Amino acid sequence: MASTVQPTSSLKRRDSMPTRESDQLTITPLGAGSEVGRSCVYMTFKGKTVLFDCGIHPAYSGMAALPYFDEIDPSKIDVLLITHFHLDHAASLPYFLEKTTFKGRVFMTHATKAIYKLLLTDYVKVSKVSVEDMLFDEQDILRSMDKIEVIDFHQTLEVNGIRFWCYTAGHVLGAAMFMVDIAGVRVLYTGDFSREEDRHLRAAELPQFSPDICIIESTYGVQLQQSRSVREKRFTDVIHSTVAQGGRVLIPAFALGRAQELLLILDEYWANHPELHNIPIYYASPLAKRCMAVYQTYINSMNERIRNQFATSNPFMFKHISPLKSIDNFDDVGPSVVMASPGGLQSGLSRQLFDKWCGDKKNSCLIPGYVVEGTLAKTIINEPKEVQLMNGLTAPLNMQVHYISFSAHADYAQTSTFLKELMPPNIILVHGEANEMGRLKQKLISLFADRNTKIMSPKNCQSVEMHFNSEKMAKTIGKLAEKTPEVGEAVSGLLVKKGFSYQIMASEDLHVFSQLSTANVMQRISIPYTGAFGVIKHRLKQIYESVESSTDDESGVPTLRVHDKVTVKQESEKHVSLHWSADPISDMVSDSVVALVLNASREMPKVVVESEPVKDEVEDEKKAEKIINAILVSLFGDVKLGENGKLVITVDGNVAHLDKQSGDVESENAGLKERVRMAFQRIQTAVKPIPLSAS
Amino acid sequence: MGTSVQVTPLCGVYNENPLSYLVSIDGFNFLLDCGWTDHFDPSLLDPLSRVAASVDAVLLSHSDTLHLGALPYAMKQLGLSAPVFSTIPVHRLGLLTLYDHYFSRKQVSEFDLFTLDDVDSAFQNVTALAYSQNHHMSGKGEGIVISPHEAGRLLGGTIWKITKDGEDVIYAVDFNHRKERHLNGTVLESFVRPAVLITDAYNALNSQPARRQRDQEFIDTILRTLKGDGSVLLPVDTAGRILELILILEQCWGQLHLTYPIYFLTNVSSSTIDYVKSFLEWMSDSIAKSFENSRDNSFLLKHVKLLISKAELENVPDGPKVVLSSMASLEAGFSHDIFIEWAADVKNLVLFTERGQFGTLARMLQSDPPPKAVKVTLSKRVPLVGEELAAYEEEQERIKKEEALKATLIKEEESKAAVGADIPVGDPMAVDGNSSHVESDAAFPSGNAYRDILIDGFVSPSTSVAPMFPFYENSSEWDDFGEVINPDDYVIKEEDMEHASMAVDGDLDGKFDEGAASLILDMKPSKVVSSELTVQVKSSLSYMDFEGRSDGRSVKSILGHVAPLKLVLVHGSAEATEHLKQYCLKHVCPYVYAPQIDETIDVTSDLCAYKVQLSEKLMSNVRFKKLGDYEIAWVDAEVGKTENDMLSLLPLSTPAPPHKSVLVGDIKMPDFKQFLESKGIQVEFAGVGAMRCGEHVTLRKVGDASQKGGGATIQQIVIEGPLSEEYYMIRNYLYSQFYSL
Repeated sequence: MASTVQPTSSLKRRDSMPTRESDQLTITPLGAGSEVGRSCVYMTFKGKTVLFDCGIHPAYSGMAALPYFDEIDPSKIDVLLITHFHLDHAASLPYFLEKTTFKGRVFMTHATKAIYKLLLTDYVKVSKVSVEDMLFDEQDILRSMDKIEVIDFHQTLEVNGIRFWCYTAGHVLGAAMFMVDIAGVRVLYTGDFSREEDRHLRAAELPQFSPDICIIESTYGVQLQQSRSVREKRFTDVIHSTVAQGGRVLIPAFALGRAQELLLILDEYWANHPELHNIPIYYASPLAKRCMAVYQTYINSMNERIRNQFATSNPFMFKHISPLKSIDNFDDVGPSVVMASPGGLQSGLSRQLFDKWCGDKKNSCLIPGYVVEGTLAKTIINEPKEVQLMNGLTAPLNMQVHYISFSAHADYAQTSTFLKELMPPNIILVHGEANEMGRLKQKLISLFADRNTKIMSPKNCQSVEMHFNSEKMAKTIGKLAEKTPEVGEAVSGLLVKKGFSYQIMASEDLHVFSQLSTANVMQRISIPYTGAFGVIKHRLKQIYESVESSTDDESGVPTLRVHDKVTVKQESEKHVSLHWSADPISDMVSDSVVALVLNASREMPKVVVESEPVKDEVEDEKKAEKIINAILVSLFGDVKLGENGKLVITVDGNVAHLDKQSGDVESENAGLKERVRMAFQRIQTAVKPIPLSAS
Repeated sequence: MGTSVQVTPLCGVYNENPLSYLVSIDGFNFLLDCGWTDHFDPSLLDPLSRVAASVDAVLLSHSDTLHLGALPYAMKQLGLSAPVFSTIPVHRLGLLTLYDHYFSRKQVSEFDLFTLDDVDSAFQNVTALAYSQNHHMSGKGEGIVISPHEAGRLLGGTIWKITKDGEDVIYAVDFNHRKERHLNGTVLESFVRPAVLITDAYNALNSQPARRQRDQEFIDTILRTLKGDGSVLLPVDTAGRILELILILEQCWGQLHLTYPIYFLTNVSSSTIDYVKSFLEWMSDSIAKSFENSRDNSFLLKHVKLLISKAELENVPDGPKVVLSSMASLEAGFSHDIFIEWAADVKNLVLFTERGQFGTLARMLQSDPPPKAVKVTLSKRVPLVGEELAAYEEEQERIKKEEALKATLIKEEESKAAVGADIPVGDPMAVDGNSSHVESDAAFPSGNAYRDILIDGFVSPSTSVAPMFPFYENSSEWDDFGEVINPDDYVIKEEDMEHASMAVDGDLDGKFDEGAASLILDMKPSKVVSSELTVQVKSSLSYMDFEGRSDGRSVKSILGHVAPLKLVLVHGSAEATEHLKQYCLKHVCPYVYAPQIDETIDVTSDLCAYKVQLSEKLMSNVRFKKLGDYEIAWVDAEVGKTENDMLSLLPLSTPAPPHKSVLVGDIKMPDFKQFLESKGIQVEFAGVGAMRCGEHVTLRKVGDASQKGGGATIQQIVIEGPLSEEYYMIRNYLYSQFYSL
């Protein structure tokens, strides 16, 4: 198994080469290669193609936000798997489904599909870009809903020989890790995952089988997260102290997913602290409200804790949190806590509030999750003195900025234990900022130093190629397998391939073991013939070695059987009929018999010369030799007669000696040797008479 | 040789008894279903009791009593201890079904075959799987993979596929191929040529009207009664087919803006619907779609009201109404009581939607002509009074004393540890430890009384030993003013009360029948009073098939399509079983078995098989032809050995001997006719299986593959005609339909 990272080269060009099933597995990130955002990983193996995720880059807009779809031929993709509903994993899906040549099948989990629609519809409404920059509209989303199929956790599906199933990934509701199995080679794509159980989600599962390749996220690189309880305490402490001093707390968060977790924390904290009850918490997202039905329905994909809570009351019906429609409805008097989207402070309500509050040092901004490079949220984490407002002015940044991550990505501890337990021989890092990824790669290399583990971190459009020599195994079944053959015996039968499994069987068994059926075509043709039946018999005997005469059991008419294949019957004074079962050789024999009968009836009166055809074997041999020579010359060019009757064939300086009697070939060059042997065998088969008796 | 497979029916062959079969695969014993009747007759389980201990895994297919009713009893009394596998809905709804049965029985008898605790513990062993999830067995069953697949009929209904070494054993009973309101049809037809198929003959002689027509009739019948000022009783199951009926009624009431009230009355109706609401991913595409697009959960019921006690029904205003009530057999439960009350009124209608189990009141009423009067036993649980009570109390007193003595001993030890033990039990998610303490404590004092009905997932506090209030040694201090009071004690107690009442509400899945249920649950002294009475059946009776099983014709065509190598028939009347057996012998496969109870049949496939490696050299010369899902080629190879002693196939060293060519393909005469017509040849059918092409050429098909279930024989096609160009032309077209190898 060798793997190489190739410099950027178009996959399209390679695809145009003859698509012979190869052992080469290629993985190419079209997005999220050494970056965070627009997750999209392309994989192809044995002529099957899978695309994982289809996101956009939140920091860019329009076409620039898309993964590098130009690198691939969308029509060749068999299966597209979406891990979860976040924009950087799913938002280019409507574009990909509606505006490209993609015609494969798309899968995601039930919860993901339900939220996907709400989220993207909202995204289209919120993103204020020019019409040309719009990647898709609401109609495209609706149409894409019809094409998306659902998969349940652990459900195994097979499309076109690609088998795949998914595991719980933690991260957000409905998030999945996909395991794909093509011809026995397993690839695990984690998407975003978290191995820590939180208030409502289960931790990511550890797959039952170890994959051959693990494509894993590296968002947090080598960072270690504090334990959840510590982070929750910091979170609530910051909020509590800020509001206690009369300040305002802004929590810029993505509308769905992690926000629900934060709301659960806040609601519970408020419930336990009656002194805070007069301080309002606002949650500015009508979208989240709409998604509540989804959260209430798919409780089966959440953890035990939340399911037990459902028994008493719905934990997602918050008691201390009120919705906020827009900044106009917001009565900004006194301390308050506002959670608003977007999480990166690019625009929208969270940015409006930030602009308003950033000057006051009593206020706090709490960044609760991973922030993407290039957004304001990322900038203010470094606490600059000044920031640029939306209206272009600069303002001093006095408000306190806290960064407490709840983003449910695996940290180094989780990633390394996950990989240690899984022990994949190949690890491909995606979805991480280049520097973090580099550090993670180094650390993993030293961690797995004693094993032959390959760790790669390709950039976008850089292909990783691996070779898997999968042994092809076949199962011989049915009549053909009644006796297990010894070495050297011949086995002949039908090789039936379905998906990636092979079976060898006798042709009679085909309909037993597959849905295919075989047929016999019996042919019956009647030829006008008025002459004596004996004439035909005589003529046939001249041509064919085996002609048996008998009488038909039913009608009692005389019959002739030629080589046990074709039966000639004298139906009446005026007709003979031919019976045979279709088969290339029998068809040929029957054609010659037909010709013979027609001839015989035309040349009726002619007296046949009784002369035993002299079989000139020597003559035949010479003729055959001439033909063989001629064909070999036409194939290889330079063919000479060498010593002791061997033929010397020279091609591009390579010499092969061919023994015409035995068919043995001697050559230094293995390729040439094989070709000459093959060619000679075929020529011989063609030149020699057809053995009619075989069946 | 193939995998060894033996099938032994334990119950439910040649009759309509509950289903329970033992299937042994290479020595690993699967118990397929573990059913019981509404009568709960332990004698039915005799065969099971003999083998229960040797069972290695239990697979449940549906959530009704016929498929899983005996599970708690078998676990408790018969020594069944194997892990159980089912889908999530079968697990949840099965649990509710048994709860409902327990309550209904307990109401009218001293039911002691199993308790709610037994039900809970039986279902704790269940491993829940998703459809098409491949579960790899471990230990003794190494190499066996089981996977559930959609069966239709009931939510979560399962066809089990057990695979070993590439050979499939499929257990498919009570499936439904039709797409319904809340379920997709079965996926049975997607399995082709399994080694063994075990299926039922229940509906082999049954035929059904079209769904639309049946639904219309159903609605019409109900409306006629309602408009005639009568009420409709539908005796139904607890959590199975009722869901389909509810959707039909909901939809109809919504469309016609009807105002007649509909009640769904079982002991567990509200929790049933709560669970069902969260099982959308197991339902039909249309339900899933409506939720995805408009977040409209079909089981947010607008017209059907959920009741959990008879008293609630008595409180609703008089007038025509529809009541869906549990125990389809009318043997016990609310439906039984309501039937007795309503049967005397001509205006009322009792509408059966499934065939009553054998020997039940429902079955009796479904007979033709229906009986004019039936004898029923009216039983009621009443509190003890007077002397009986006194005697009972005396007895209880004595028992209590003994227990109390025991408990104090235990308590003393535990109370020492209790203070320390409480905190670690607390909720690890809590922000401050304070609230967790309250929560874990809260369930404790009140939880005890309801221990029997704690729903699954609730862990009873470790400190609860016996159903009694916590007893703490009074170690109070006294000063000059009396007992020293710590005001904090009182504060906490108040909070406790609040939380406790909340917890109880939740744990109970709402409220059970306050009157009677409390008698069952609170262990108040009570007894069952029974009286025999004869009920004049004046109300109309009607039966419509809403069982949701495929009808005879469809079953046959599905079996023909699946075309198993061996077929085992179970469950169904002797007549139906024999009928289906004869049919299948003729049309499906030559190996059809219908074993008797306790008769072990060996359905080990007589398949021979060995594995070989395909060498690169050989494969590089093989040219596959693609036929649908398959790719196919003829190979001539020589057997060799690889380094690790595997057989491998190498290319022949000598030229391959010629072989009889094989024509692969399935020709359908009508399709071929069209094809020829498109080529400008006159074609007409002439007689059975014959086709006249052009002037003189005749084409006949002798062995028809489609009729014989995938072809027990090879197709024989005869083409005949006089020597002419036409003949050769048609022959060429015919050849073009096949792949020649």
